[in-house]
Amino acid sequence: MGKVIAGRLVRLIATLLAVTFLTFSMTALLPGDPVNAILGVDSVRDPEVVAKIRADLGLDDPFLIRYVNWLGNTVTGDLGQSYITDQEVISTISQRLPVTAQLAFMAIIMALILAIPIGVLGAYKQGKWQDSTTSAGVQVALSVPNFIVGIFLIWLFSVQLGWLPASNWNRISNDGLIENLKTAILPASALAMTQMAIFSRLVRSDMIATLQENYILAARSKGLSNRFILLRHALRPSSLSLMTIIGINFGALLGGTVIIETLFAIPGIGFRLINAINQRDIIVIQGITVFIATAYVVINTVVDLLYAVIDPRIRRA
Amino acid sequence: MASIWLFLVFFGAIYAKIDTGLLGGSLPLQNPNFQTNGFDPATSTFGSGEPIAGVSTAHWLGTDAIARDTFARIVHGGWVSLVVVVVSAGCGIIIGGFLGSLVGFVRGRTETIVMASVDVILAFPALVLLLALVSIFEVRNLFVISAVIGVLSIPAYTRVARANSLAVSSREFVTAARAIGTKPSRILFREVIPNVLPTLLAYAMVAAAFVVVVEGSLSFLGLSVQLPTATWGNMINQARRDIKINVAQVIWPSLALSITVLSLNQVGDFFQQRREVRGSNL
Amino acid sequence: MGETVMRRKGLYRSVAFLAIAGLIAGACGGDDDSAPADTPSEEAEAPADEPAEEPAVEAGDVAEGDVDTAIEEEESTVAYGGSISVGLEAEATGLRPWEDTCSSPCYNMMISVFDKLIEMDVNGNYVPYLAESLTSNEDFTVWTMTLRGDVTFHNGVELTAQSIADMFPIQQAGAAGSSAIAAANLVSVEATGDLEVTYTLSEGGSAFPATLSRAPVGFVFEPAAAAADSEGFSMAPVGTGPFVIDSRDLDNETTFVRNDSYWATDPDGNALPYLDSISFRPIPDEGTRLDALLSGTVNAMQTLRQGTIRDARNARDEDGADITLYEFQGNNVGGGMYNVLVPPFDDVRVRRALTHMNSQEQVIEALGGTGISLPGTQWFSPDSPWWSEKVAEAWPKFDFEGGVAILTEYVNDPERSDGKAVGESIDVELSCPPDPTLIASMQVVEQLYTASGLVNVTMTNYDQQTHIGIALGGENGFVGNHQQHCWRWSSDDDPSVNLTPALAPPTAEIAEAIGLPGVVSPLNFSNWFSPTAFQAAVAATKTDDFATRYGLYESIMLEFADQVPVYYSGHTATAIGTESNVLGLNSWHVPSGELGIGFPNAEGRWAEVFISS
Repeated sequence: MGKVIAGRLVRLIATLLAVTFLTFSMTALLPGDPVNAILGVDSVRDPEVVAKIRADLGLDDPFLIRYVNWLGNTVTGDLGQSYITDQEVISTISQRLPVTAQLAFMAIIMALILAIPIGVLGAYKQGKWQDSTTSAGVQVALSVPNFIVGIFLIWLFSVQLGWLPASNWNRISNDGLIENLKTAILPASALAMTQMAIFSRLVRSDMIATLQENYILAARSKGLSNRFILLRHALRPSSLSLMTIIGINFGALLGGTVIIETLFAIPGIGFRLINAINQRDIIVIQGITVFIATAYVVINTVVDLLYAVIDPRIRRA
Repeated sequence: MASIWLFLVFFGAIYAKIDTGLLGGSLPLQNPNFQTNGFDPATSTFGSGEPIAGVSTAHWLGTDAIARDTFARIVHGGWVSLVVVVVSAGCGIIIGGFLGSLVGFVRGRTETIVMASVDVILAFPALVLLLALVSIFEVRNLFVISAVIGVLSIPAYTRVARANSLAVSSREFVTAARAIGTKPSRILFREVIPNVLPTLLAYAMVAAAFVVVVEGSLSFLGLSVQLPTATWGNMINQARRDIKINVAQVIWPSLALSITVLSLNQVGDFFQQRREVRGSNL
Repeated sequence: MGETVMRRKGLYRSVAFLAIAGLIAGACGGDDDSAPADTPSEEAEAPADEPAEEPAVEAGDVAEGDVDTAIEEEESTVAYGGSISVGLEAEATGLRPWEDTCSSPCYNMMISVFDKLIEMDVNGNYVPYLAESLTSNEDFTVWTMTLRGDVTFHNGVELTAQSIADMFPIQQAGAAGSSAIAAANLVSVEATGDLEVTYTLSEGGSAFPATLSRAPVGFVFEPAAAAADSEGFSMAPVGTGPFVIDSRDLDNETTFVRNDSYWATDPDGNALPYLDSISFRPIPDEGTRLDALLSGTVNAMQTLRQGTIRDARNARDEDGADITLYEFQGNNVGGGMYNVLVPPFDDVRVRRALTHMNSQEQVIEALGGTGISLPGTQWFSPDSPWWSEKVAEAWPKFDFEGGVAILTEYVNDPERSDGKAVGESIDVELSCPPDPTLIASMQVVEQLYTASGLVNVTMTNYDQQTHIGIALGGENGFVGNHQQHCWRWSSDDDPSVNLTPALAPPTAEIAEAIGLPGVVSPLNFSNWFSPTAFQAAVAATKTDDFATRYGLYESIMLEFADQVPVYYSGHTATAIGTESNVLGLNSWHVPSGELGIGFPNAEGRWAEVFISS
């Protein structure tokens, strides 16, 4: 077990090194002189000022030296400072992470609430009309891109009905939970749609497999009620694979909220990333990409490990 | 159903492309970039087309903000999706498929290195990596977009191919071929790759659905091909500004995109059940 | 709500200025003749370059802010208290006047926390605001300003002449400040008394008050706080303004609360501001921002897009949404430029031909601005005192055949400047930022050009930052890599502010050639240089006589019409939309009691805004 963990950790560190290197080299390739972005439109270009900025940012150093310097800073939590807003990237992230995390979390919870009954129903009534209807619905949910869901949610609930705000974000700390949920529910629903489809498919197929296992047949023959069998015996094994997929998807959602955050103007990490891309704010693009990738890799490793702990059969891998 | 739709969409896009390119517009389909309220130098008058119009016999699905025929734009919009799908599947199958089959067959250090790099690329959430890459290019045309998506498709195919190649390589006919001293390269091309290929093709269907969504998202964010090229994503984005005037202009391209993805998923599922492939996500 | 169409002057006169019922006894009535709009301001020692003195400027009464959407103010009572939330099109890059480039959305925030030294009144005159007076010597090289006394910054520090002097080195070092200071030829700022500040200019400028009425130099900030922590200041700005920063959550919400010791009062002597707090929320998507107003998520919003104004009008007129639109037809004109240093645009025939082939009407329709935006023929809108009938007639209008004829001539010229063979089409790269409306308009132009059979058009769109960077062209001596580039021209400032840098020598070589080495302006985006136009622009800063200045600017615009370095689509309509109980945007005052300019470019002044009960 200890060996497994150690092995995974070594691999994690190697992957992280590679990920940071890739991100750094990508953004270093961006065309356009970042000095232009810093000085803005109205400024008269003074060569001395330009030279000073280049020196401050080390833009004239060789590539590898810049990478090593940058990595050193990154490890100590210093992701640099935005060229444009002068804000520390790390504080940008820490300010926005709770928003994105809440969205991702809500999306997963909402998806689960819908997905488990749908999946169970599908498995229990396998092949019957209940199964085919829900399966069809799930297929549709899986196929509509989330920004389209978002647009029509806005159109229906904000423009036509006027029930919920079309954009923005109320922080729990400022406006309380209710106001916060009002702003969070639409974007979270848009995100939840695909997740719901993925989860319910998983629950359904897992459960169909479990229902054919001997112990279920045994329980049935003992005359236990269907509901009891479904929830007590059949759903349990599915929860393992559900947990894995939730872990992976949570990591993916941290980055996947980009479009939804942009659409709803939500001050999360993804929206900041899009702004940074549009402003060519290299330091911020770098910082956020590295952060998201790191979070993704770490979460996946943790899920892997947990999985190994819970299900001994995996350990040999 | 699903395959009929896909056939219609993609064949329509190809035919529309050829038609405007070679046959000079013999189809009843209108020019997707023609502004029907625009100035006609021949008559020195402005056209009588209405922008943001509803459904009519002249314009089956109405017109967009600059009075272009929405139906024609939707048909043509399939082209970009098609190209991106084909390029990404091509890159994936040819490069990823070869790499994966190779390392699954020869194993050893090559395998470690290749799979490590694959793992690194797959360590990024796909969309974030794509955005970061796409933002590097100042000019984004169909070539750049499909190339970027194509390159990013390689790792997932490599993974699928390797897994299958591993399985195939331990099968009796490969062992037999080795025993009689067949050259490894011959085994790879004659035995391993032909057996990996069907699985990859099935995986390509699943991946295609994802690629269409990704291109749609990029278009929607204005980070895909240059205008006036119609794509479903940029049509949705442009029509969104007039959603209060005519919601239908948002609905049509949304439907086209969603039904295509749905169809690709259906077809992909069908093949997957056949082949039992378990591809990792892109 | 009902609607009547009136010019702004009339509108202001009809606006009821009511006191605060229940709070102040003896409030004066609504239609009372004592409404301050009719009271000429005697004490305002405004600089003498005010257009309003001139006969030509009867039109100037309605200048800069012709509101053709009418707002019928019900008799309502100003009231204290309440909070509003305002949706903006973008987050402010920062709130440091000396450092951050500030456009319309940022202005709404900055003006809440900082006061300007000089303001513009309803007649378009520059009048003292935080200053009490501003006078100049004969040749406009030395300006003496007296500050208002008894004003304190939000951190308790008293505002003195020394504060203004201490701001100067910070402004000189700032990205935004340094260029404004250079453009105004400002060389020193000294405290010559407790409240007296002396500005010295190396080159006389009659429009210097304009500089003090805008960011970056016009906004007064607390210099010690700014010097101590520049980055921190952006998150916690300290000024003398009506509101004090409360919290700043970037990209989400910036909240200001009432400054209880604000110096300004309304004309009845009631303390300002009326609101308890105001918060600003960036909502970049135009449709979403309007929806936010319609659904009550925000109480007000600003927009610079005609399509949004159209949708807002529809929502109000057809769906009965209870909103008020404060529309402003600004001096800002949209359109673009030709890079005259790049063939084939170096040939005036090409520029003229392309301009003739460009249908303004259709472009405006694509922008969603039909009936909202007026077609442009010059930098000034028809309501501006600087507008000229002569220029309007001289400007090359839509004439497709005419354009084709001129272009044919160029294309068949064996000496054509782009070096292509006779008869070959010219290549044009057309570029706009990726806003859906701009993209739509760009496609209209593309189709018109292509229809001539003489132009190969490539369309590109780069994000805003890249778009500007390309036009600046710092990498190749400010020539830039653009060909035909979407742009916006002019502003409601004095014409010298934008026009002079746009006419200055664009490259070092040109500057050298005309004997002005070192005078290079990266802001001459079209790279068109005419000695006569440049001299006229400089001459206009040496006099405060309106007729003379008008003549000079008219001559420049006539040269534009002849040489066509830029082209126009329509004048930019801007608007602030509010819920109909949010009042006061059109009825705020400058200290003299005269009405202020209103809401130019969707920049609201929020100190006198109130929520009617």
